[in-house]
Amino acid sequence: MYNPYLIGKHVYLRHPTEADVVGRWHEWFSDPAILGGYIPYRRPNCVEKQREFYNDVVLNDNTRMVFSIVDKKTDKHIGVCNLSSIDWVSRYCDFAFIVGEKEFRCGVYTLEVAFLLMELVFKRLNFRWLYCGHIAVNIRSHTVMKFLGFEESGRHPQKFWCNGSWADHVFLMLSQEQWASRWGGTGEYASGGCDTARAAPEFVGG
Amino acid sequence: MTMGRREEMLLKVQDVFRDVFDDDGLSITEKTSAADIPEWDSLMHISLIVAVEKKFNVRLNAAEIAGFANVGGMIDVLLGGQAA
Repeated sequence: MYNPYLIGKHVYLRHPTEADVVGRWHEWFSDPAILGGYIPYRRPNCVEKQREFYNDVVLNDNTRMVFSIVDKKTDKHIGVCNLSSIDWVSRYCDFAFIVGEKEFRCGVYTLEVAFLLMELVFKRLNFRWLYCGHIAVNIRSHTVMKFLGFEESGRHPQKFWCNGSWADHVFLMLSQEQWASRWGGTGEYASGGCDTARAAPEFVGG
Repeated sequence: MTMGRREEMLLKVQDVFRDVFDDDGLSITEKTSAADIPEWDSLMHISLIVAVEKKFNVRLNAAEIAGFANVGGMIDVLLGGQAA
């Protein structure tokens, strides 16, 4: 493992690297098989735009924490996940995750990433709310999020043009109490050696 | 010859797989994983977890679900729970 931050049974999460930027990361966000049910990306991705994202967001945006998802067995970069729209005062954030490498897109790794992020959000960062969203036609995302305990909190009806028709933007949320009730306190994951104090940005309070 | 606990559990888990994947002829071993069943994606993975919870009347935690990477892992979790 290289620079692990959160360690699961099959994957670990770490800070993205330049090697990730010039690897397959940008390809996942051009792949229609991956994007089909997601918030539609209108433009193809490339290494240069990925490097822009790396420099502007990964390295400099304190309202986001971006992680590379790495397979423990092969140390292969298989996906990306992040906490976004972090409000350090009101203690909430969004999250999203994509396992981009096809052979790992079986649910095992997806769920483990979700569990690692939820534990980070609710247990280590002591956030109150975790939000996410998906396009209504993305049944896969909806099923995973409902399984994790998320509840629908609203919709923007017919917001997105997707594959020839309009689709709702679905908003979901999970509270710290709901997480603790279903998942918290059972099956702890090992931490990657980064204590809570260093997990927060240098300025706390927005 | 009496069947061992693992063999018994394998047959029960196979029933779950046949139901979830809607394939009465599906045959699994302890090494069976998503690499062996093309239809095994994240949707089916959730379906397997929910079906196992229902069939064996258990509520799995995050670490136990992580053990569901292959059938052998599932059996370990289910036998571990029953042994507890």
